[in-house]
Amino acid sequence: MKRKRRFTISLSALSILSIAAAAATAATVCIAIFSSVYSRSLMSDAAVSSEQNIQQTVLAMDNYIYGIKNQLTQIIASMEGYEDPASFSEDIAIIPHTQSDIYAITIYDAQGGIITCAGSSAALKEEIRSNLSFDARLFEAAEDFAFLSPHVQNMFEGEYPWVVTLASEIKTPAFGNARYIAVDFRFSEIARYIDNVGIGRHGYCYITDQEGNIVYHPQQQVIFSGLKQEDSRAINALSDGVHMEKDIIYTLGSTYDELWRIIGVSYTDELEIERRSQIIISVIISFFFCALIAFIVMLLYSKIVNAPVLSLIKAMKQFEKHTGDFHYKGGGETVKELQALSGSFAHMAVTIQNLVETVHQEETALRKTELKALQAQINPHFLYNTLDSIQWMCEQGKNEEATRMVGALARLFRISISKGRELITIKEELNHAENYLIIQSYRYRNQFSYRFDLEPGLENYLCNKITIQPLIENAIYHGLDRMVEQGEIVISVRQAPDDEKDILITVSDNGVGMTPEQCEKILKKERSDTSGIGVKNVNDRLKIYFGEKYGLFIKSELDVGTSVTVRIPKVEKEAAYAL
Amino acid sequence: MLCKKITALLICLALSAGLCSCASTGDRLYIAVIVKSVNSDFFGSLKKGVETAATEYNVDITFEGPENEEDYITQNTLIETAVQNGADAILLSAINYEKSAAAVNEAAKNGVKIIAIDSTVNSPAISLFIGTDNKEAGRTAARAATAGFSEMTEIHIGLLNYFESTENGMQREEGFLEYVNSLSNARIAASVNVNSNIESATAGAVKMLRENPEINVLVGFNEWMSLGVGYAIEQLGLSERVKGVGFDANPISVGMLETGEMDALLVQNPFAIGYLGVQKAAELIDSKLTENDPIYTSVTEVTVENLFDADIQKIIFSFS
Repeated sequence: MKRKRRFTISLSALSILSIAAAAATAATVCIAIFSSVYSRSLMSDAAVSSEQNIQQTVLAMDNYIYGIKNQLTQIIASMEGYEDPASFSEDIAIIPHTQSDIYAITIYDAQGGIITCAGSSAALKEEIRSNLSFDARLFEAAEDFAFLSPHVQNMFEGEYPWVVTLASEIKTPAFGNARYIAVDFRFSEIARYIDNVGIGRHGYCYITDQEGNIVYHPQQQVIFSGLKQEDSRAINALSDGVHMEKDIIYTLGSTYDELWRIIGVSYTDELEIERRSQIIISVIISFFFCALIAFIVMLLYSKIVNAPVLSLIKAMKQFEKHTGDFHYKGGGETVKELQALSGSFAHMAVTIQNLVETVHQEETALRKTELKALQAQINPHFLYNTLDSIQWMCEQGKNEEATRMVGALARLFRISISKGRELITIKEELNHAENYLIIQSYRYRNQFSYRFDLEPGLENYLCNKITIQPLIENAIYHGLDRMVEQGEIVISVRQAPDDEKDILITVSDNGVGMTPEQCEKILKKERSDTSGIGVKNVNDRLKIYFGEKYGLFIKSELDVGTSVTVRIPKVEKEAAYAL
Repeated sequence: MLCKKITALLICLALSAGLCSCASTGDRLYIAVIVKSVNSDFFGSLKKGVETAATEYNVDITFEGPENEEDYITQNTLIETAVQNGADAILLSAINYEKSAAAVNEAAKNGVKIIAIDSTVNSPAISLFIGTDNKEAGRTAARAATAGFSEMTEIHIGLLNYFESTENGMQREEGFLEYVNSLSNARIAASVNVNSNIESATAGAVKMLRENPEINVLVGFNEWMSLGVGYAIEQLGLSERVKGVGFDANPISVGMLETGEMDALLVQNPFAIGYLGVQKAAELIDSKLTENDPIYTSVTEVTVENLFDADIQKIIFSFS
């Protein structure tokens, strides 16, 4: 069977490759989808959360501003019914101690002179340098409330709290020259609130006025000492809402009364890059993990499935080549189907071997039986001719010759029968051959002569009976019969020169000889014309008995002669080759 | 079977690697801030800066310090504890320039980034210094202390400094002396080191003024020394004759500026130190920061004239 050389791939390699390819494709697609969807949703998430934060902060500031205005309104309302600022001040002195967000309540004259001040338990300074809670110009211009941005309150000894001041004109005539009432509200709560607004992963918010001046910034100590830039005026030009710049999101909101603007600043780059790279890293890790698992699975798979399949295939090839001496042991497979397959193969191999052996034995036995039957047959022509010759001798009164002839025929048959044994001694076989030659030499009227050449010591070894006679018969009929002058047949028995254990028996004549084609034919063709044993049968028989090494070897040359050599082993006891 | 064991091991490794990477990326940074004391206004303001930056950069912080400003042993313990608690970075304002070096080196060996704030440690493990340029601050203090005297007037200076082994105090004095030595009419009349608290500082200053009546400029080198200077001048009634110069501001020392016991305060920017400390630590951990040149924060000279300027207010008065 001829096999085409084709590209082949093992099952496990194929599986590994396909799984790896699938995983790689999935990972790439995942990364692509994730990064586009994620970056978009991240940006909008950041914008939404930033906007929510700022709206919430604006709401808190609105509440704060509304609250402090409300408180001032209540205090002003409570002034009704007082005759002078002093008694009013005494009554409200408790307020800064009970309401923690109010630091001080001060009543000023038109120039900022303090008429009364209810506030901290610390002493009021005798001399106040630049009172930061009073601004004559602003107070004068205000319609109902004047608002002073966060500043340090410096009216009391040893205290410098941050406050916002809300002031209003006093309309109660009973208060004389008292012109303004101002309430300082502590700012630290608001500052803390603003400080704690964290936007996104990295962000903050701050307060400006409508002109973009920073009212409060969580990092104001950094900004005002020049360590950080915050371009609040430029940002202030933006309208309220979310503004996305390259990697910064600005979110602006204004308080209800448009007093303050809340500006949120958050950085998107880090957030996006970090999260995206996190996803990509985890996808890559899981990809490698999948690949690793696929690799391990395939490794196990090939160990469990492929290796047994391969060994089975190898065993089958082995069986194909050497059916006779083949041994297969299955087992070791983990997969059930393979186990069954391998078991069946082992069983089949043994069965086939047994069958072959049986067929071989039966065939040999058949052949041997056949040959035996042939040996038992007497060539009727030969018998007829011989008896005819004997009759002729008797008629001629050649009694002596007739007697010899009958004796030879009798011995020939006796040896042919040989008590049914297959192997006889070389001596007996030669005797058989001689009797045959005696009979034939009468028939052919001394057309040929013959002689025996026996190496001493070999005569007692065994050989198949009727081995030499067919060869002599062949030599007479095909070699000498057609010769004009007298021929010669030489039968020699020799120790084989190349093997000590073998014997060579040669029958040679100086007849017409044969072509190589004839030589070949003679070993192959069944004898059809007459019954009895042909040269081919002799050859077959030898091979069946002793093996392929043994048999006939023909050497022939036209007009020179033919020699047929029989190679047999040295056999001493018939038992060894008994059928 | 060996093959199976190896396979199992590989699977475990892959799993744990995956889990670790997930866990580590999800964690917030933790920065431990260890200062000299948690009571002073200086460190209060620094804490505000730390907290502001922590909010902005989304990091976890702890803020700790010993009871008194000489207790470097507690500081070293705090460093060790921070390392054990898994700090990613430590901001350290060291009490002792030499004796905290070992603790710092050990922490750095555990992979913790260390940033010196305000005053540093004698260790190569310090990644960065953030704080006042103390030598320059000393020179500025000397300029302020000697300003307003005519060239004919002899200037007798008394120095009130704290713990000798604290690095920033030494630097300030060095800068101060450098400038003073360049003047022909100024000399150091007396110099003492006292414990860093109000009582010792006041007692030391009073003693110095009594023993050296010629002193006409008295300088304190930190917040407590400044108060000692102010209280001593107040107690001895010398506010007219002796010029008080100090470092840092708190309501009392600002009050003394207003009432005249103190004449100039050199106000550092502790908020900025704390803020920048956390910011740089976060950048350092994320490996975004590669340079390690010291970052100097500003020193503002505050006198009664500029005290309530809008910008100065925002720098010196903290929200507490």
